[in-house]
Amino acid sequence: MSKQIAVSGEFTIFNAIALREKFLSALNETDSLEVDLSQVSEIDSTGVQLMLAAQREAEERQKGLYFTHLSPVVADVLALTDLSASFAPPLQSPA
Amino acid sequence: MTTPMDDALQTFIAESRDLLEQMEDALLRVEQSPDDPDIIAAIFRAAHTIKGSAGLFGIDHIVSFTHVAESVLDKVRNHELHMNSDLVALFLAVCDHLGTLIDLVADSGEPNDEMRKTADDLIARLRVHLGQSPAAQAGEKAKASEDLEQSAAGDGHFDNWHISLRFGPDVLKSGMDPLAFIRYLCTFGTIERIVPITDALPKLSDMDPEASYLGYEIRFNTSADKATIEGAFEFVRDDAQIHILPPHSNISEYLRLIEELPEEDLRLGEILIRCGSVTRAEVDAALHHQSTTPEEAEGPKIGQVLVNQKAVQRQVVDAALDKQKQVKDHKAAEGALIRVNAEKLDEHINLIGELIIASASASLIAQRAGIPDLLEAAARLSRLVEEVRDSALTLRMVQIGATFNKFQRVVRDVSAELNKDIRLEISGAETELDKTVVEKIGDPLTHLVRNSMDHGIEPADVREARGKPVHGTIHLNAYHDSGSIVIEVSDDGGGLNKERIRAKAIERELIKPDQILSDSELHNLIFEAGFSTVEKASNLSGRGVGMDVVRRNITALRGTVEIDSREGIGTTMRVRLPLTLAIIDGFLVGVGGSSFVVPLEMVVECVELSDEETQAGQGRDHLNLRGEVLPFIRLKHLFDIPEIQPPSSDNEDEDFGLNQSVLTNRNTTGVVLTPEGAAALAADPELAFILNPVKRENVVVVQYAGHRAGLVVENLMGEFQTVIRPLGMVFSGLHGISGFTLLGDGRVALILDVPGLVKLVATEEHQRQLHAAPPSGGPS
Repeated sequence: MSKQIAVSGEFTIFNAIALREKFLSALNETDSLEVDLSQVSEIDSTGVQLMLAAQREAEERQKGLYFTHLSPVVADVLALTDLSASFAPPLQSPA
Repeated sequence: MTTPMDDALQTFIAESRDLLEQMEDALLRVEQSPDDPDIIAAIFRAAHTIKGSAGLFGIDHIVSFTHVAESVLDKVRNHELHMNSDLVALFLAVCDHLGTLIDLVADSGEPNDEMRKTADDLIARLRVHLGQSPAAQAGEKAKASEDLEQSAAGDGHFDNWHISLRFGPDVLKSGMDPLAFIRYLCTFGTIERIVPITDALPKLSDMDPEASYLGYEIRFNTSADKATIEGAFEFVRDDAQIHILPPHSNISEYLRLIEELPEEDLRLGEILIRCGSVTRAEVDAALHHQSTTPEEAEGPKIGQVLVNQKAVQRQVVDAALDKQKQVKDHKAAEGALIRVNAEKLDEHINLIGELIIASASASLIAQRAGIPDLLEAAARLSRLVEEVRDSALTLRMVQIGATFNKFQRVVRDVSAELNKDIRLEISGAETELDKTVVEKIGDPLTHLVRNSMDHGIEPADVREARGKPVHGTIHLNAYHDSGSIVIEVSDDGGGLNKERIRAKAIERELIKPDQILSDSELHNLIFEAGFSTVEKASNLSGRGVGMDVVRRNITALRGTVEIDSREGIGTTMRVRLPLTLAIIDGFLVGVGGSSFVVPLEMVVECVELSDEETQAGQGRDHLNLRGEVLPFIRLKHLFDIPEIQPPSSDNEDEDFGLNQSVLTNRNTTGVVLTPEGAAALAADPELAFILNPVKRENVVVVQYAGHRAGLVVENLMGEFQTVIRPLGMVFSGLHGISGFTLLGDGRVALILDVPGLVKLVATEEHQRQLHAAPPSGGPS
């Protein structure tokens, strides 16, 4: 089973706590989670950290986690910090 | 006082030497079984471990040299190369060179030109096996020297700054974002490489989503000055750890950086390399595979450690040493060994020697006091001291196998030099002997082996004509025999040529032309100085300086060497050495007023020498021992010991101690009488006569090297733990005495040189047989 969620608007310190809960419960509910980031308008270090932590969590629990449709600001920040490769989307969207 | 680093370096040197020995051993074995994966793995492991350890201490030239060798060994491991004898010879040369380099480290020296040339030479030959043509090698060399120039110019990446950022956890809550600073940097320079540090990031469920956990290592290209860069971080300076390393920074600056940063040092090393702030040249020199792809692809290595020539991080060394230790612990689990300083062991044995004397003294006083409890305690003490002594002496014993194994290499090299096919056989490798003896016996043995190979083993055609196998055999053997260790060097060669020896001896005026000598006497002539019967002195031997030195070295170890040779069949050199040098079980005897000690191991039995027997000998010092003729020596005559008057029995003088009390209480069974017993004897003259007839002589029958002799003494005083003390130089010409010891009462007893005495008796006997008229009815 898989699930899709999205982050829209600010992926920053202002909703960091809420987003953490969102990621955690989503990971609890599914074995394969897709997070759509096409609507992210702004992202800061907290966002990057959440992405990294969520990915590790998923790996640890042996679940799939994919950040997809990165918006330009997200892609930018990942390029800046050389993390693009770590979040490279899969060639096909998971079913 | 040595620092921990010095100790670590000493350990490195000792262990590297061990590893080189193992490597050489394996190389010699692999020639016989070139496809054995275990032996090849052993060779690889030895090289690899030396390389890794050298890297920890920043001994770059060893690392880079070993690295090339390791690469070739890797190919052998992967069956891309076959271990033929050329390759073995090459690696043996590599082993030798590494030994030289390790010795250099021990002497804190630098490689000289000759060593550098050897290294270059060997590396070139190794590289051929790596499939690198000389042209490619030249290209690599040029590149390598380029890298070297870069690192000579400055160990950081050319023209790039290195910025290390670790922000405080609250920086985000303070309204500042690390990303902003990074973006700002991009406005006045280029971020060539950035490595995010995610080590501090906790689990998703544990983290504080508003806290900052990320750090960055950045290689930054800019023409701006340091102030500008620092200025970029002005607002966050108090809340962050910022390090800015200018271009051309020394490697030591990076090491300091590693030290100050919170992450694990080895990991930081990896990160800095990824960042590119440190050049390939340094990385190559610090045990790194030649690869520019991320290290994760190859899996975790032993840890890429950046070290400077002298400024090595203690923590880094510790971490990696721990790791090495784990590997070693695993290996050493089978035989839990401990490395002990040899001096400490000697000290230990000296102390035990003192303990023995003190214990003897206590026993003596206990006997005089006559208190039963005390006597028992003293006896128990004496027994325990004996056990401690034995145990301590075994600590110093090592197997001779290790020494024998070294000769594999010697035989191999020398047979190649002589162009003879000679094999080495070894037996008795587990025979143990004292450590100091082992160290000193190496040189004489080497000479004996070389001699056998050079002069003993005949050329192949001669061997064939004689019906012998074309390959010659040298056999090393060792075993214990009555308190000695015997080492034999045998060859199946042509044996000693008696005629040549005789001719040479006459030429050198060592013997007269008409002198008749036994075979063994002729053979022993080769030990005379300057003696050599070879027609042409070879590189190895034949210059006539060898055998006399060999005998001298062996004599210095209180040993003997004998020759057993038969023409056409072969020669055996038999070296006998005492098993222990320090403490022995002795047998105390008295002659006149003096005490002597006979090493108990050489004592066969004690018999009485009655007057009849003395007469039967007809003036010749012989004894009929159950049908066997036993020659003897009277120690009294030999050492010219004067008669002393036995003291009166009511002599209560304490100072006379053991010897006097024994004289008064003489008893052929060797029992030391209590004062009551002595008084009883004194009171009853008949009893005294029966037990103790005047001037009874006793013969201590001793044996050495298959010969027996009798030592005529007056009193037999029983077993005695003897701590051998060497006599001073003044006494070095003394025959028949090999040392002294202290009795419990402080008096001196001389230790008899039994081998010498036995030889003396045998020689005298021989002379007598040669020159005397045949007896008209000899001893029965």
